[in-house]
Amino acid sequence: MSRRVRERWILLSNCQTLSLARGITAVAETVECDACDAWQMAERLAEDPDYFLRYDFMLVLANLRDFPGFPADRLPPHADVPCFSFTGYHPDCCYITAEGERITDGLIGPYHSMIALAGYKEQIGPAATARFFNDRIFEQAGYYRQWLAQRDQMIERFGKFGYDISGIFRKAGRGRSFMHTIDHPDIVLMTELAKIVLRRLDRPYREEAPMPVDALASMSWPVYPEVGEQLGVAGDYRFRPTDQYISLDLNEYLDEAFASFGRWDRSLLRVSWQVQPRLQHLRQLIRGAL
Amino acid sequence: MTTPYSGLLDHHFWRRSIASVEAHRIDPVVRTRFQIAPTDRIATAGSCFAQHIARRLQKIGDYYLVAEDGAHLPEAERAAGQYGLFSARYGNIYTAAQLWQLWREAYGEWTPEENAWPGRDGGWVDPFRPAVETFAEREAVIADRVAHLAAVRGMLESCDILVFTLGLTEAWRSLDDGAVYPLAPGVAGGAYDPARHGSVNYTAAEVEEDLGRFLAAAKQRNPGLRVILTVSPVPLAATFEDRSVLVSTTYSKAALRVAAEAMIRRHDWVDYFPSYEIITGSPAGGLYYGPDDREVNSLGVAHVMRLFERHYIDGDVVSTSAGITADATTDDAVICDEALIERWRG
Repeated sequence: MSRRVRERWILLSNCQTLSLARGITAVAETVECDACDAWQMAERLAEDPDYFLRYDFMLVLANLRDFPGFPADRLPPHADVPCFSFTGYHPDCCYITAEGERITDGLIGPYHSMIALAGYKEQIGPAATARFFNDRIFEQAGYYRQWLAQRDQMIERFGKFGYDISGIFRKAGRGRSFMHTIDHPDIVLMTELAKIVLRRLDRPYREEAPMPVDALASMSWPVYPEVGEQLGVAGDYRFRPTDQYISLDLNEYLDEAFASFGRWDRSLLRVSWQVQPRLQHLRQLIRGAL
Repeated sequence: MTTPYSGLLDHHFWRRSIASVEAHRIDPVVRTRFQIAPTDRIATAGSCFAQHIARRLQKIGDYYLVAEDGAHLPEAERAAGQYGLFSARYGNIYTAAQLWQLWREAYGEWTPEENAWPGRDGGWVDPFRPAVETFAEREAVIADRVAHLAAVRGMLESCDILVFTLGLTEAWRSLDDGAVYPLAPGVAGGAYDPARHGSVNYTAAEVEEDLGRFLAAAKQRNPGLRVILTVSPVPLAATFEDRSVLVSTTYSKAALRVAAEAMIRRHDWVDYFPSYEIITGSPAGGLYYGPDDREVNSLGVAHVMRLFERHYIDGDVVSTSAGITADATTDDAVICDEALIERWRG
């Protein structure tokens, strides 16, 4: 018997593209979904102006259409899908810039510890900074309030596009973290998201299907034990360098983080404006404890 | 069309309060009968799960009452002697019968015929707390018990709140005087003699009777007393009934739960805290047990105590801990005498 003919979809998105496309293909009854990273779009169109029009349907990262030169007239029928980001399991994880450029060559790629940065800025050294990874600091810095706030924010974000993801947290987060980092969901979450996308677009899907390979598993931030206790997740302080299988403990991580930060004057290291208040609060807590 | 359920709040309905809530956010505590004030002194007793409650209480404030603290001993010896493990050094009190017996002995209403057993590895132990300490001399067992019973009286009369965790319905007792032991003779001391020792598996009514007698007597001595009852979510380590230990566990926990329910219906100063439901309920799906599916892991304890604090503690609670626990594995610091049954079964 020949293979069933399926709709051909393409997903145009960010680093989550491959995982969501794989998830859709894995669970969909009638769809096969290819992936295209947003930064590949111009190149594909340059090679073949009808590249995307060869697909039956397209999913597009929600905010891409706001970019100048977005080729809406060269796309097939399409729908928007927002990006899933979530700091609830990793409230200490953040991006850091130096002179306006993201530091992407950290131990875990572009991800860094905000407490480590606060300790570096307060010039207390890695050993002293390690003492601030504790329940009291996490509570006072609002780390334990992140999960619920982020859940509600994601439900609202997806709800604006007609996707009801309210049940996804219970299913994908049962006793486990569904995020590798603050913006890298794992394949379990992405496969559940794929079902929601298919349901919203009235395409049949299977509840159970073989799990695709996780495209975002090459780097992960640990769920700290104190944070994990609040969320029913077993945590640890094991920092796994990108694409490696060894892991470093907190002291080893901090030694490397401080060495990395040391390339810049501390005044040049910044976090995004949204989390600036948290960094300042952490610095105050450290100063108050010294 | 209205039904008797029309207009009820979410907690009445499984779909609204359980099936739609993430596992770590399940909260079956609808209301408490009282609050714990900053000045309250809380005593703990019961099975090994009560130790978790005691340890967490010590971390969240000065609530925890220790009437037998071993202040005369170096700190290392205090821990080894189980000082502070509970509010007095009674070890695990698994059954309501044991609790009622302790009260009667403390107030001179009953005296056991056997007051010391040879230790398993030499020395002497107290039959009613054989895992607490091995004494060099028989007389030392008796002398320490006198001091212990005085501490029990002091605790019962000075505590504002007693948290008691019901653990088991199965026990061993003396056929001579009916003395109820926490562990079978021979497990941590003494020698099993079928002619002198027998097993018992209490009915819900018997648990209710013993618990009811204890509560009434304790309230009479300490009119301001309030009690929080919990049922231990830790399954039986062993059953003497000729059936699966799993089946005996469900019986035992059900009987204890029934007895606890009877007490809260009888007394408005007795409350029930659903730690058993939080840990064992299907929403948790076994998440809160260790690798042996018996010991409760730190995630489960954290969930229970998070809700305990949220619902009972007055005002803002600032944790004094510098990181409550480091992993989700079994908590080795909890002393479960019942596990000795398995160790010595050969």
